[in-house]
Amino acid sequence: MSAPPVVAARSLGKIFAGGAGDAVEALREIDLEIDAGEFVSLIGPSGCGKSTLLRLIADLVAPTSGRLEVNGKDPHRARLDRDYGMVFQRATLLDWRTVARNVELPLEIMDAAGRQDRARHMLDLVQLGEFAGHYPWQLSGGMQQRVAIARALAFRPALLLMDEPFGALDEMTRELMQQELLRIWHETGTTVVFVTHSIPEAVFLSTTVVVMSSRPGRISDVIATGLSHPRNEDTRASQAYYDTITEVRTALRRHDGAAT
Amino acid sequence: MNRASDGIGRDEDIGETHATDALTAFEEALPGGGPRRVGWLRAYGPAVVAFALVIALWEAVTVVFNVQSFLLPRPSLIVERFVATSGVIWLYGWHTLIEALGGLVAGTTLGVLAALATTRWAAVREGLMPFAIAANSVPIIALAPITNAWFSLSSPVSKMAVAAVVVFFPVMINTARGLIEVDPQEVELLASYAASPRQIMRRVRVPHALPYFFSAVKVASALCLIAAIVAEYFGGPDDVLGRYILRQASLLVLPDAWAAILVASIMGIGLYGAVLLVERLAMPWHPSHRAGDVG
Amino acid sequence: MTDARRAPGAVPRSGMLRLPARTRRVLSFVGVLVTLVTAWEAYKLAGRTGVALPVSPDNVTMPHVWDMAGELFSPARRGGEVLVVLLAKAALFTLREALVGFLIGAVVGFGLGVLFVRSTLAERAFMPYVVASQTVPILAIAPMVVIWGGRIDIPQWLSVSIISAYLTFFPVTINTLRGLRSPDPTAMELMRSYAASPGEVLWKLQVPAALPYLFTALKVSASASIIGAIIGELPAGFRDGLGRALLSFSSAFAVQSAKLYATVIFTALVGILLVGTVTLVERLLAPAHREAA
Repeated sequence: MSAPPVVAARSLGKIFAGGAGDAVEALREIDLEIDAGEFVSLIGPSGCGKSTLLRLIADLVAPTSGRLEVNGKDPHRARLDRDYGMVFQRATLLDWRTVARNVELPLEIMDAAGRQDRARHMLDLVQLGEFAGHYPWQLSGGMQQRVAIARALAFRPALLLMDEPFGALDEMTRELMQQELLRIWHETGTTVVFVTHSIPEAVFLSTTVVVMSSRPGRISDVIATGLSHPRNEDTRASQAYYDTITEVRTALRRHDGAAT
Repeated sequence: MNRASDGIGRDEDIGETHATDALTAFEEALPGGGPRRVGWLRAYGPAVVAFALVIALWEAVTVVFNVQSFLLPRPSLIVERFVATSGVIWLYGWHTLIEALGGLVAGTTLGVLAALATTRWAAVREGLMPFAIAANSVPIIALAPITNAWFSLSSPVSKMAVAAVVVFFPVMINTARGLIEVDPQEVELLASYAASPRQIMRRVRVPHALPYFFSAVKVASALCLIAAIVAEYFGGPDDVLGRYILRQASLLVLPDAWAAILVASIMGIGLYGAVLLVERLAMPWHPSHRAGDVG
Repeated sequence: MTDARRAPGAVPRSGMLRLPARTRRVLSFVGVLVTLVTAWEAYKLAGRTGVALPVSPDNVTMPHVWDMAGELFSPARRGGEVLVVLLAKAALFTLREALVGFLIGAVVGFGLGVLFVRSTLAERAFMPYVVASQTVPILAIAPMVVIWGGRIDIPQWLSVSIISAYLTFFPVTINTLRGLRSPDPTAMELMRSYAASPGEVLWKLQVPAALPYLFTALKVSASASIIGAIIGELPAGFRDGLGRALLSFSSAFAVQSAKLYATVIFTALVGILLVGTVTLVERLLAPAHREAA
């Protein structure tokens, strides 16, 4: 149980130098620890830096101050070691490849053996096995995101980073996808960092909700959801669920009111 | 990336619209992304500088190595001959320009009419479009000997006809595209006002089509001049630019031939500029003309 | 399928137009051809009524369609080979020149596109030259290039191929560049998240994304290459090729005009053939693109 946190941020900060001379302080003094196996949501208003924080973890953006360790290493090293998989808001599947070949993409780059089988396995995990030979444009938005998730997990990373992956889906599909994601999370044991706009989504999915506020972006609250597992329709109807949602909402309102 | 609508889809390769796409691509390829983004100087500047350097190098090489003028003429000699023969080459140029303009006007008019017809009647579109697309792969210039025979070798009409055909296709296909590919919601808006098809055409389709139309006319302005000159290569009276170029080239009087080409280039640039001017007058509201537009 | 997308202002499909795309295309060709032939003969008929017409409808200027067909299978010259065969040989000659140039231009263009995407330095240094190269109206100077080439002992067909290559490389460069840059930033981020090497990003993401753009340019260039080849053949000295055929049958128009018409039709066919081949290759290499409804 003394395993190092999968993500450890200490006084992390990011300032974007603006083109016209105005710098934007996207994140200030971020202190955060995420342990293995957790499901952590980052929620906050637009401009609070949640996507930036995710990209810092992913080494797609470099910090301007503070320390960040991913899987006990420098984020750059973690990226080169392929310690994480990422899912974006748009599935970003390659049009010219079949679904199966899309899932194989990271495995090809890593020159892994047994890619086809691995891809097959992942597609079965997200319950899209029969669509292996289809092309992305033949699938619905929700299905494409499932393929993106399969792709992100194909190489069994320790960490799964998700940037509002269900944002473009309708409410019904969203709820189904959330259920799916939790099932996959249970089966793979991956640590998940999930960025979202939606309070119910954050509460339903996570073990911990990290509330952020903007101007400048910082963490204003960390709320453990404490809801039981497995989570399903009953959870959505439970009192604890509503209470936690209210708690998160209050936290968001409180800090935005102060910031103005 | 996919723009499919009413019969003109990505899958049906729209030959001539690729010429206008190429125009856009060309501008995007310029440093900075084109004059709309970084102004004329920064966009075309490097190209102009490069061109000037090439000319300077050319001059230096031909002088230093004493290259014969029938092999590679000195730029300075070309300019000399340009000035010396200017009476002749500008007169001939004028004759060629008339042919080109005649073709441009005729081809554009017919192209627009055809485009309007394809918008109005789906049957015409289904019938004509695939044919127009195939006609695009055809070396239209091969019509020149035929028009020479039909309209008499000595008449400028024979060259105008070739230019007109060359111009017709890009104008028709692009204008049709602009007329048809309107945002369905704009059309729905007007339909909710119980607007007639004619009103929809005027208020929604035509303004939407104007940028496409001008794109095509820009391309056409370059094409019509080249078409006229090349058509002249197939025969005709001597007092036109094409035959002059051919004559001088055959006699290996290359500096004179290049001087004539220079006239053709200047006319081409002038024509393009005229189209730009008309475009600016017709579409002052277009974002591409707003100052300080950053993509 | 697409009916759900039809807006009130869109023109609805009815009757024959409901047939699948390929059938419609074939029917439309046939339809246009039939219309043209009918119009041709109708025009000639109208001429008999004595109405003044811009183009003379006599049998020399406008031979009957069936006469033209007949000419195809008669000897082109006294005791020589049949016209169709002659034209086919000429077409092959021109096609070969154009094809060599086209392929060279395509390879060079693609290479430049890849180079410019990988090296911003190379792009800044060489793009102005690429752009400047297009200020020269190559079609207009094509005959001159060939004459000049002859003078410095370059084989004639090579001069013509150079013209075709020149006409091809610019659109291919520009479109390759555009296509290589077309993937959206998220896709690039995805590749970064895989710590993919620049080479992998190029071949797994950028090049496949660029294929549609590349083929667009190739289709335009294919047609341009043929035109360039024909124009290049015009100066005296070329015995073979469509350019020569066009010129000599043009001067023999008063005697036997059908030969010229046949030549023009052959020229058109060569153009369609080359572009059609490029389209076919595209279908093979990039089949995943969706069919427009």
